[in-house]
Amino acid sequence: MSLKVEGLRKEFGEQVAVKDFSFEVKKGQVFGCLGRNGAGKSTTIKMILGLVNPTAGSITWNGEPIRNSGVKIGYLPEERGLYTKSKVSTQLTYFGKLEGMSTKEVEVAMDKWLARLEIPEYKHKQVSDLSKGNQQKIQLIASLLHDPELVILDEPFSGLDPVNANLFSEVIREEIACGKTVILSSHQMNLVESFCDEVCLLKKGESVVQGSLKDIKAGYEFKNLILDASEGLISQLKQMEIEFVEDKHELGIKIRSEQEGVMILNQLLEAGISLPQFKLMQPTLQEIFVERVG
Amino acid sequence: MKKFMICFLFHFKESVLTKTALIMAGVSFVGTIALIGGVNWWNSSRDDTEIVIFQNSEIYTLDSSLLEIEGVSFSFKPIEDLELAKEDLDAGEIDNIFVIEGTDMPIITSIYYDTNHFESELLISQLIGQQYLARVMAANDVSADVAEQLMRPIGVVHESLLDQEEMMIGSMISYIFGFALYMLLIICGQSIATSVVTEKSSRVMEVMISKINPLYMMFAKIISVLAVILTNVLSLVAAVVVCHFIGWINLSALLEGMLEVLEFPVIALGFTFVILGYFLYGLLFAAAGAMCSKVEDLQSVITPLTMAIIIPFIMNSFLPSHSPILAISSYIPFFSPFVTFDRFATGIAAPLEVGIVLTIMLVSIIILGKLAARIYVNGVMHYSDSVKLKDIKKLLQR
Repeated sequence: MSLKVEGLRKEFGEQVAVKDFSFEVKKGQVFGCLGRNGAGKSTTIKMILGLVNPTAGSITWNGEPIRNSGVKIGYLPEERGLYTKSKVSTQLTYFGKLEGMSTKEVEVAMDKWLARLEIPEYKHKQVSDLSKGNQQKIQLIASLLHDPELVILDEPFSGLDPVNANLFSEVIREEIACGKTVILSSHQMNLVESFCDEVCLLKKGESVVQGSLKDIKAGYEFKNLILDASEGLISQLKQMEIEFVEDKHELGIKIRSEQEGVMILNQLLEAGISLPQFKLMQPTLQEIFVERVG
Repeated sequence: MKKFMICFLFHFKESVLTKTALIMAGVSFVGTIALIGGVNWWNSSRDDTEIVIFQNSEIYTLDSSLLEIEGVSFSFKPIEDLELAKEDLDAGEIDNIFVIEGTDMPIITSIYYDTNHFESELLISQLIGQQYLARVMAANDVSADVAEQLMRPIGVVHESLLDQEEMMIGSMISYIFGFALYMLLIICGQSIATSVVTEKSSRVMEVMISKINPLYMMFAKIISVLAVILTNVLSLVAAVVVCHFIGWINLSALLEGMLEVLEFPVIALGFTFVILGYFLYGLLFAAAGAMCSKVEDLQSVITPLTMAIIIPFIMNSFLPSHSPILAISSYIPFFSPFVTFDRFATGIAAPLEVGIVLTIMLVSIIILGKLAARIYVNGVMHYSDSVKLKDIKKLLQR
């Protein structure tokens, strides 16, 4: 089972929102769609959902056009899409029934999810009475209630405190473990990094970096050499005219290769600088994002 | 179709079972009962209309046995009590005072607070008039035959090509129907457009469109708004039925009276025009709602639609049914529910005209339905700061 997007393009008049975008997400995989605001992430998601018609390209699920495939999709929109004046239970029942569930099935699934997200007491509350974070939880339940095969999460962590963000992460991990195919769009790179097998960085509708996260990082030009900060080290690096970033007790140096790192370490040791520990790290997704998209 | 029903029932229940809606339904139910009960009590406890007559003429006098009107009580008082009677009139204890004076020519003065009692005034003036005539005849030695000939009115034979009675009843029915339709379209139209734009501005539409065909959503919304109004009407009907069982009104007599006036073809056509008119305007209001991104933008978009309801209603109310303007506008779909019904109820529109108009309306609804659906489907995913006319073209072309 897989979602395949080929040559996807969307034009709004003369403006091209998405330029010939292709990717494939297999069952149980997570595809991270990243980019700045207006990069074309939401338009791509809306095309997958059938909310916006593509100008060109195809979207298939198991080889069939997604609209005819009958795939169950769970969608969590970037902005909350709930009937604020309705009760949580009424609304979830409505969404569940539209996905073909019986009232009993909805009731069982609703209770399970409300308990999982630690908000069973809000079942009969009006949505507008709930906090932003709890509304986001209801939104997540609405997108997972019917046990979808394809889960599309557009900025799932927005408006969440760190505790709830962790809870969301756990739930998403559980869904991935259940074999769900997930498309994730977020600005929180650390979370994306922890979930995604494949990522894509979009810039002005175009994919600028795409592939497995491991390959992207391995093949990336820069690496980070991390050293414990000390006054002697700082003055020595300045003397050697090596650029570095100071972050509390650590210093980060961007290097092009492992050899360059070893060479710097040798030079520092020769200069009599004490190096209690050092780390050679791959670049973070955040760094790649800022470098390529920022 | 199952999804349509789920969507319809959700919107219907969410509108009918809200606290506000239940309170409103309860208030109108109790209010109707209270109103009918109040009118009933007023009618049963109301005293006769009190008429006081002051006879200040030796020549012209009224015989109390001739003063007979149902529900009216006549009494005679001496002229000295006139001021006291005026005070009673001011206090509402008396409804009308008549002072009869004159020696040669009779003078009848009617004194009242705000409205004269027309029936009493007519009777008194007729009785005094007869006395005056007899006096003039006697003074001039005019025989009864001559007097009768002199008094005989020059008759005008009326020969209208229209059935005047049908026309009068038809106009009355048409006005009531037009007002009810006008209220229905204004209230429901606003409600449909607000519901669509609220769903759009809250972004719930984005979640919904991936679950259900937007056309089902649009029609479910339009029909649920109508169903909510019908539920409110049902609560009023229930109140009337309760009043019937209490004995405050005679429902069967009321219905019999209505059926005497309303013929079946008029009822059927009225019902047809309500349904067709509702869908015609409902589709437009739904499309208007889909074009707006915020509730605040809605007013400017629906104002032209509101005008399209007000104009035919006013034309229907103030222009004579046989006016050429109404004859032409009868064929314009937005005018038809008001105008053609009026022309049919007053006996002017022939069945052929009605048939053509209904066909035009049906075709218009189909075309408009397709256009509105296109605007709705494309409009619900179209967000902009303000609504421009060129947006309609853009949405239709997508």
